[in-house]
Amino acid sequence: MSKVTRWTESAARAALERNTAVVLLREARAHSDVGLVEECRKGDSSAFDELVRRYKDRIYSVVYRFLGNREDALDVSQEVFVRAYRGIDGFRGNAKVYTWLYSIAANLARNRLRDSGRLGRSMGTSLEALQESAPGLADSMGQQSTPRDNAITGETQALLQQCLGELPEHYRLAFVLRMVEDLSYEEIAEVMGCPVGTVKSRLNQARQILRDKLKEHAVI
Amino acid sequence: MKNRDDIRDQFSPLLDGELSPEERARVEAALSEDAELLRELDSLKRVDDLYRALPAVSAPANFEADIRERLHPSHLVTAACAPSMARKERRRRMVWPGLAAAAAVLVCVGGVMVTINRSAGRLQMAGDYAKAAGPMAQTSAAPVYRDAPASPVTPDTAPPLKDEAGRPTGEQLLQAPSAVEMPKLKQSSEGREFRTDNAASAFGAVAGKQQDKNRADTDETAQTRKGGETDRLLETAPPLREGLVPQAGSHVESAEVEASDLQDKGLDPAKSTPEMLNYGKEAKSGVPTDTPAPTPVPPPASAAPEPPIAQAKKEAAHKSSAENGVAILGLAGRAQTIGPRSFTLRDGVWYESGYNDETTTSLKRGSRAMRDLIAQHGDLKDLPTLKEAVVFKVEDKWYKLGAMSK
Repeated sequence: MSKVTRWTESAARAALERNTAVVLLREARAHSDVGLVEECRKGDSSAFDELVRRYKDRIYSVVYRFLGNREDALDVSQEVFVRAYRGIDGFRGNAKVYTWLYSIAANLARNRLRDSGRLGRSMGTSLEALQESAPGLADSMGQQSTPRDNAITGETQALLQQCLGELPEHYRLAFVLRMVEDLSYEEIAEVMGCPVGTVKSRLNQARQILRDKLKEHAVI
Repeated sequence: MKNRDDIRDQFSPLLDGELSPEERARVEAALSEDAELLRELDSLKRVDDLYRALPAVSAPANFEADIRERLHPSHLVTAACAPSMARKERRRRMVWPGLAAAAAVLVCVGGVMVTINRSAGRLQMAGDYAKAAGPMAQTSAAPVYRDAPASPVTPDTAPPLKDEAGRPTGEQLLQAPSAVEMPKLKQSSEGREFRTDNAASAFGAVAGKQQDKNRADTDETAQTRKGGETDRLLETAPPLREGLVPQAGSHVESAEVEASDLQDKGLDPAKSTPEMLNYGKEAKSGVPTDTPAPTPVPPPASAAPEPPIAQAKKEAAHKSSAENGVAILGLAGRAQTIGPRSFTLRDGVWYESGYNDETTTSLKRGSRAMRDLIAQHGDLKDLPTLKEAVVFKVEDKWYKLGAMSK
């Protein structure tokens, strides 16, 4: 009993601390993000450059994990900022800048995914795509693995990405926003345009599907 | 089993720290009693750990440069000015509708100016005609009004100007405007072609001011307001039509038959009749209005031939007026007819017939109100050609158009 309690308590505490730190950081940034948007509206080019610098890696990372393809991720994430720039007058002040950016990214990424599906391409599931996308995968495949500190092998990375790419679209997006960006349920709901309960359900389903897939691959 | 599913549903919020303390306590209680549930939770946590352990990916180095390139494909545009360029682009998009509106306004103003210029051109042409005809008239052997002994209608033979009650007679009613307008109407060989409905209306408008006891004559005159019946009127007064038609070159001379002559003959030049033709000359103001009306003295039937140039100019002027459907008669006299409206110049102001010191609404030239009135009443479009202030009536309301600024 005490062991379970300690386990759940430690897990919850870690999550809470992580969430608290992330929330505090986000709040601080959000405050300045709105100022950057205002400056950008006034024509301050450096403000937009700062927004790009601040969020380019995060947006790119989310899009990449969602699409599983670097080329498409680069194209889509750049398009996110282009759309944001052109539509910056339509940004509502009551929203957070990063959730706004994530919303644009989510829409564009889903569109890209559907377009790719119509073109018969498989995103992030083929070995070729994995070799292309997973950092370190080429080194690890067929060669001796060189484990790094607290890091997973390239093969595992590719496998994780493959499993992620096999998730249904909505599950995948919710999971990526949570795992990669640590967005809260409310923020994910805002980005995806759905209720918080739906986010909870999608995340739960995504975890269970991924667990089953990773078990199949003997990763866990 | 249902309880276990409920607990499973709480695994994700538990791992994400999204459970309330009460919910977490309930899940912990369930986990402490069910080892399988605990293992499931542990596996889920391992999934999270794996994905959180994925290395972060960073955007390529050329990420920002590519964005700038997308925003502004031209390599001539520097990155620093990209947002300002976008703002300028937005402004350009906003400017185009404004430019279109400005162009529309310019076109409208241009149209008005063209109309004014055309009217002014007619005035100028008429003035040129007068100048060209003037020397000829002065050297012509043909007698002019004041020296027209052979006129079929002379002061001696003319019918009485007023009846016993002192009101103008029907003959005067016909003679007065005829002496002025008929020369212009008949001075060309085309004759009746230049008599427009407006001319007839002007004739009628002047006649309408008279209180003639001869109701038949008045009615007949009034019919001319409806247009196209001037000929019939002329047929009823053949002596006038034949005798009052001046010859070319007589206009300048006849114009000299002004207030003094008219006053001598008891005719009110300002109120009762359009003046003698006085092309190209400024209208004189301050003419007494209470003098008796004279009897117009028509020229003889025979007259000197019209100079070819003057004839051509005159025909062009008449043709222009006819083509535009506007007859501007008595252009420089103290009475003018513009379209169906007759005006008399008093104290530097053109008053439309019928005005009797009513309250007027002032209008500025080129103002929106004036443009609206002109748009609604096409017969007003030539009013602005008058340099002086103009008092006119529209729908029982009197307006005063300001004088043309110098």
